[in-house]
Amino acid sequence: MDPSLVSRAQQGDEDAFGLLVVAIGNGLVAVAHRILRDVDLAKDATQQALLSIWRDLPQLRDPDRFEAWAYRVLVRHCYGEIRRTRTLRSVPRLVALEAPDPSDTHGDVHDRDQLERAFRRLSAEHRAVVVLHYYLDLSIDEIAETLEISRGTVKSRVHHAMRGLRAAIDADARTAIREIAQ
Amino acid sequence: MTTDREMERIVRSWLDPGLTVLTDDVVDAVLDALPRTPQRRATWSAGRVRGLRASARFSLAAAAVAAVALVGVNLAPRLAQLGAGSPTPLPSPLPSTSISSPPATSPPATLPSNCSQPGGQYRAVLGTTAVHATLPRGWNHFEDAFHVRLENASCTQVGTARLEISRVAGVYADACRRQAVVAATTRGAMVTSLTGQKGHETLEPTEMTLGGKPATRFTFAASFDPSACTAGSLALWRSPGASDASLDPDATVTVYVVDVDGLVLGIAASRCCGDELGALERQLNLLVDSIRFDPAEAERPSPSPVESEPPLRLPGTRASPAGVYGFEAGPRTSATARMHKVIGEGGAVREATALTFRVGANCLGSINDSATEPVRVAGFDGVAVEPYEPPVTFGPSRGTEVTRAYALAVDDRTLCAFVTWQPSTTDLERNAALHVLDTIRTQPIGDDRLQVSFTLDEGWDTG
Repeated sequence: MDPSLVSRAQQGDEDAFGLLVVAIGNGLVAVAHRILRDVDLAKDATQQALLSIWRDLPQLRDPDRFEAWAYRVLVRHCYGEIRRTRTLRSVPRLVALEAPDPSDTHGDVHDRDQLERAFRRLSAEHRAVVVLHYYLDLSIDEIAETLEISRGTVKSRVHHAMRGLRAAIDADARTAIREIAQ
Repeated sequence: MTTDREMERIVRSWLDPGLTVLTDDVVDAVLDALPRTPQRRATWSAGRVRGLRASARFSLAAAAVAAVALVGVNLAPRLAQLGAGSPTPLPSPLPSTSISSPPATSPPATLPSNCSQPGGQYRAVLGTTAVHATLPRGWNHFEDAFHVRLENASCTQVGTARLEISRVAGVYADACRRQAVVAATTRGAMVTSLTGQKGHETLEPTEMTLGGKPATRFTFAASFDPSACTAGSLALWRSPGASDASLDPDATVTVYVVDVDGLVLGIAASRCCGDELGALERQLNLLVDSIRFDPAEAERPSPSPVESEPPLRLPGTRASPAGVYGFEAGPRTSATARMHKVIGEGGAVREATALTFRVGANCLGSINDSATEPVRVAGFDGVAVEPYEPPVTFGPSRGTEVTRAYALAVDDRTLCAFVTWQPSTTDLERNAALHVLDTIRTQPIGDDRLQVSFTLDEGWDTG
């Protein structure tokens, strides 16, 4: 990311900010979609995050850290979306299911379904570290820096999230084995 | 049983498909909202660029074409499959009516976050203290700490009054360049640091009480060249979990340093400029007079979803800015935190000092007790050894370095710290490294771990 572009946007240059939106927008919405598991919520969170980024940009001390800071802002908006939708969960809401990838084998589709359910049960914080680690391929240190939490907290969250996801798949596998045995 | 590697592969594969392009409707909505979304702390700054909307869109369109080309055509079927839901419209710039003014008898509400809120009592939790204040009508919360500003009914910042109440991680020695953070864990230390701070005129503190707590007050004008300062503003102090307490050009600020039962809070009441200055000062004074502190409520969760604890991270692999850094470690982990300070550039660089931290009862290794000296560092009792052998160095030992080692008792655990210097290290450089130990803050985590933080000046790295 060009730090001079960030500096110009910090001074209120809307042109420069537009270019920053192009540079980071795809990455932001991709992460939001994977955390939130919903296209419309992901777009909402990204839109709100970009406006927060614009509004708070003058407060960013180090333009070199713009990208990590932008992801932190996005993740916070994702937290907000998750909490907001959870508080509204008494209201029935239809969530569009994504069409399966034709290249999936039957087993993979089954795993995907189990993962989807298990992932939606994770807290916002656990979802975020899974996506940053396994989708963006950020290291533990990079996640700690991005989210401004300790390495230990990152490792703990990754561990617990993966344990939850694994339990969902393994439990389903055990059920299938029992069914075959019967 | 799914193996770790297999599980990672499954999760990566599962995460791969999905939205990967920010659609035009979202980009347009964001760009359209920029003119009615004032940047925080930018409204008093000169040089704001306006009137370039058409060229911005042209540049954006050109860049978007390039971005789509880079992403590749394979995304098109995936996007079509997902469908393009339209995003929620942006919040209306009109005043919100969804939050009513809290009655005087009801518990204080959390801080308002929408435009043009009615007046009332609000609260926010800062560390171990709940801060209460009565906001006049039209004031608006705009950050995770107790940061409020005066706005008009169309949600455009009047731009002339702001109150920030925050915890203090350290005071910048140079407010303009945001360099050399000095630890300020007491009211006296913070007042001393602010009085000597570069970037504004000398301050004359006045002792007072605020919310029933001992406080120090001073007022000064922020007259500086924004183009010469980082982010175009003066930064007074660093706040854990929030942005720096900072000032815009031409603002007049009254700073209050309050000791709330051992917790140091900084309050910056700033206003600017012209005919309304007197009225704004009266509103700010009323607001400050209404501030109350309630330690009994400190355990309530913060209204913000943002983690309020200070970030714990070590310096980066290149020279890092001044600030509060830290780590978490225990005896069962091999984590050793190492960092060093390199002086010079190009071929004339030299390692001046290095710092190493370890946690664990035997972190000092086997040493001769007669070589130890009892010490008290940062409020912790312990022992020091100098020279410590074998030396703990950042890189391979050259055999000429000297290490002073400390083992400090933190409850039932031990924190070891090693300060290493070279024959070429100056006394000033060595003392600066030793002074870092005075800034150590630590607390036990779990059964045997410690969370450790400390303040570094500019230039330390772990690379």
